[in-house]
Amino acid sequence: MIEVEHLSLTYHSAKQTHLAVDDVSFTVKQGQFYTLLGPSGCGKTTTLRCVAGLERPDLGEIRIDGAPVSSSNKDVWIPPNRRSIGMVFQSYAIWPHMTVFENVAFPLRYGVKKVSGRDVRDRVQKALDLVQLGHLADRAAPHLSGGQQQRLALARAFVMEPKVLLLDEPLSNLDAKLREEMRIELRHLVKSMGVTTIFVTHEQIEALTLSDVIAVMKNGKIVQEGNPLDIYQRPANAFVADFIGKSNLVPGTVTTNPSANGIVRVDCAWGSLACSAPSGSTSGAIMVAIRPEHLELTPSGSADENVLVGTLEAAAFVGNMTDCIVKVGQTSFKVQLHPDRTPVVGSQVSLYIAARHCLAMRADA
Amino acid sequence: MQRSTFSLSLPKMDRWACVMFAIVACVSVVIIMMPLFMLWLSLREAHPIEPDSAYSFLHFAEVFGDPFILKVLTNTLQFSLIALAVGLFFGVPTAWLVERTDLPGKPAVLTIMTIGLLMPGFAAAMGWLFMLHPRIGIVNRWAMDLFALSEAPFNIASIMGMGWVMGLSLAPLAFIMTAAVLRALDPALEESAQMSGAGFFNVMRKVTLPLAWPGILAAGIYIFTIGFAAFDVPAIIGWSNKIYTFSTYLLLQLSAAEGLPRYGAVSALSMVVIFISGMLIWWYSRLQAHAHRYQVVTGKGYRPRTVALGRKVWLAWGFLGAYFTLSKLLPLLVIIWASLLPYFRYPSAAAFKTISLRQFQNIQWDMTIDGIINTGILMVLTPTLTLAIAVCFSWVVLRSKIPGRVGFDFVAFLPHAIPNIVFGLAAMLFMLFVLQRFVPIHGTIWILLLVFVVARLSYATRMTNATFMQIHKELEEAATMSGVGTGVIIWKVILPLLGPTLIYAWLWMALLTYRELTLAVVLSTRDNLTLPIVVWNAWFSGGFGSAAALTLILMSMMVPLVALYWWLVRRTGLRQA
Ligand SMILES: Nc1ncnc2c1ncn2[C@@H]1O[C@H](COP(=O)(O)OP(=O)(O)OP(=O)(O)O)[C@@H](O)[C@H]1O
Ligand SMILES: [Mg+2]
Repeated sequence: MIEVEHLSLTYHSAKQTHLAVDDVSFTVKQGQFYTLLGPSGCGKTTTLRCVAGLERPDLGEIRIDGAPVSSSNKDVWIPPNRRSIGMVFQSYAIWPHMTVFENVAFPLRYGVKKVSGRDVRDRVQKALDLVQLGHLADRAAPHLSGGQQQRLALARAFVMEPKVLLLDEPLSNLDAKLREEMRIELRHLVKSMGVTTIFVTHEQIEALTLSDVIAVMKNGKIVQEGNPLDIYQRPANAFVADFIGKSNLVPGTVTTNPSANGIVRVDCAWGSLACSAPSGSTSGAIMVAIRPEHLELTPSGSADENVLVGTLEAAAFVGNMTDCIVKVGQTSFKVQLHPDRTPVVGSQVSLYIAARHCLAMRADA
Repeated sequence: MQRSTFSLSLPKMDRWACVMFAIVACVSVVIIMMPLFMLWLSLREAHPIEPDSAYSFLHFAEVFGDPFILKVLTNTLQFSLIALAVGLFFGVPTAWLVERTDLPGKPAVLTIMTIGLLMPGFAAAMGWLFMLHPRIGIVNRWAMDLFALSEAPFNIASIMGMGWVMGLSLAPLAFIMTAAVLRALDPALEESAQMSGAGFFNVMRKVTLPLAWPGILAAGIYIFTIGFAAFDVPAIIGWSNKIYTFSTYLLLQLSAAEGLPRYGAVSALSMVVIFISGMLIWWYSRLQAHAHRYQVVTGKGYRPRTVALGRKVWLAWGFLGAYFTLSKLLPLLVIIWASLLPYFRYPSAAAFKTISLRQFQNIQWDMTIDGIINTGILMVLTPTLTLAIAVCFSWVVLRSKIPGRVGFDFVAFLPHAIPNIVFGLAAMLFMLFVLQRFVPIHGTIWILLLVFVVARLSYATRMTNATFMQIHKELEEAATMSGVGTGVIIWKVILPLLGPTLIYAWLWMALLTYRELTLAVVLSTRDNLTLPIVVWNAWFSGGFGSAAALTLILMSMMVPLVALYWWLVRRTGLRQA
């Protein structure tokens, strides 16, 4: 279990200071796969490095299995090499002057918990077999493919049987196809080890497919935490709605109190919409988020369905669907349609959307 | 936001980190103390052994008021300007030939430059003195006989002559630095000028030279700085003919026969020289930063346009051959000639009859063997120790989180701004008046080791810094996360990755240490002779023949080292020193 409380870290460079992590708190339960997701520069890596001990936070406390490893008010500091944490780096950090075997054996031979010669051999072989690199043990490390290097980095992190595993964008160095394969394999491996994991990424697909819990970060803060389905279906604010999957964001004003089933009416530039408000109380100026795949050409017939009438401005065939732009009043909507049912460009279209897919939320993060 | 004192406290370091930091701190203190002590001496009116004294700019007034010292300074400037011009004259065309033409046999140029390392500056100076000395110089005597001249046509014992010899030995540096500038220029810029119809000379004049100019200017300043600080050429050629540059003048003042050495004036002059040299280095680094603006930034390999030389290949090789003959071959032949004669005379039938190996037999072998042993010890210890310290410096500056770590980098660079003779002098004074009380190493090879190490630290840290920056930080962090401390990271990760750089730098420093004369000359006594000092002593006691014989011994013992160096550089390519 990892507990992080009120973590803050400021970088001081020659001319300026930068608050990279701003009062972040979260808890990762035993065996959970926890993901930090957010755009570039939002402080994910910095948070992860604080847990690892590679950065020293200014404020806050971090506990692993209940024992503090870093605490600003108790003045506790356990150096990174004594925290027994496995870590996979973005660059993989495979030592080029060693063989595959030597890379994995390194933590056992020189680490805090030294292991005797015979056991080293067994444990390294076991770790390599786990990631299916057993047959490459004697190969020089630079002669591995990208995917193999990534698995080697995993084996090296696993071999110490750490309490905690930290992964910093481990898939970002792979090409698209391999990334998809490794995604499935990674979750399988981590789950079979039962190790508590923090994973850092800026790819929403990775976060959604791999995680038990996702924390979305922005400007050094966690803006929403929840399981993948929650995050996708009930984004707490416009930033999350837009960052996780694409959304059409339309400004509007709430004009009614919520009805019995939680529906409010919102006035937008071109008319009024029936919206649901998943993140609770909403009033006044808000944002409405509408996902492109929820806009349909045919009515479903449900009671509070909205109809948007506009002109099809552009359509681009991308395989399993067409990405379209529909102009409603002065607002352009991104819409995803089935290729067979896409009207000709320039024609008038009616788009239908259920009220539960029109999400009203606070505009600010 | 509220800040705790937590982040301000020193990062906790493990044992090895503390050891490295302690080494860096101690060495830094030594480096800073030397010039500071000199500054103190220069401001102190009385002689250092007197207990108390007033402080003033008296000695500086002395320096600037002495017409002879001012003459020495203008001499030095003229000397280094001429040396720079000669160095660029040979170095720049060579760089252009190697980088931008289809010259056949380019690897041979590298080999020639490497063989050139065998000839230390003082050896070339001896050779040229034998050739162009106004009284005994071979060429002068021939010309006088041939054209029935009453006076020698050349006089090497002049600022002009010394600059010429110095320039010849600076040419390889000019070549390496200019080649680096040309290599970094994007050839597309030249090609597009060509495509717009400009001819060869217009492309040169309007595109290549203006683009390469900041880089070449920077190289020029660097070379000028080295010429400015040079000691061996002015010492061999100028000393006996009473033509001084500041470095020989400083030594003259120290070894003054009458009265006590003028430590105050010597220190004041040294401070002036450090100031000039520091300004030059500062200017150089400014230009260097500026020059990088034009560099090719793409990582893509490109094939620069090469000029077809055609028939002019002979001209090109003639030029290179002339350089090799003038700078290496002729001086070497003359030295061999001198070593075979009982006394120096120009080649004639009578002279040939007196040829023998007697000079080699008459060498003071006891001193020579001491010199060889001491030089051998220093040659092994200096690069080893310097690199060990340099790795500590690089680690502290680039990898630790110690506050103010960048300051240590500045300190490591400081010796670079101090001419070697001044550095030796500062070390000697510091030794004599301060250190001797705590560690009596005056007159031992340990004081030489100390000074050699500190003086080479700038070069060594530049090399280790550059390589350290190429090592991805995550390689070390991965080791930390594997549960190991700083010691294991240094031994098992950093040192193996630094390996090739360390070997290269080790060899280069071993070579420099082997032929080092300047730093040793101030600090040498009978008990810490090095081989170059043995040569120096022979030369100054008037034994030209035995000095020549000793030089040959010195050079032949360098052969394996240079061969190793050549083999290494041929594999990895030349790097900018
Ligand atoms: N050593 C440093 N010194 C100063 N600023 C830093 C340093 N490291 C990171 N930063 C800044 O702190 C902020 C957070 O950096 P961090 O590496 O945590 O981002 P990230 O969320 O991991 O981004 P990415 O997805 O691009 O890796 C960034 O704005 C970055 O520029
Ligand atoms: Mg990152």
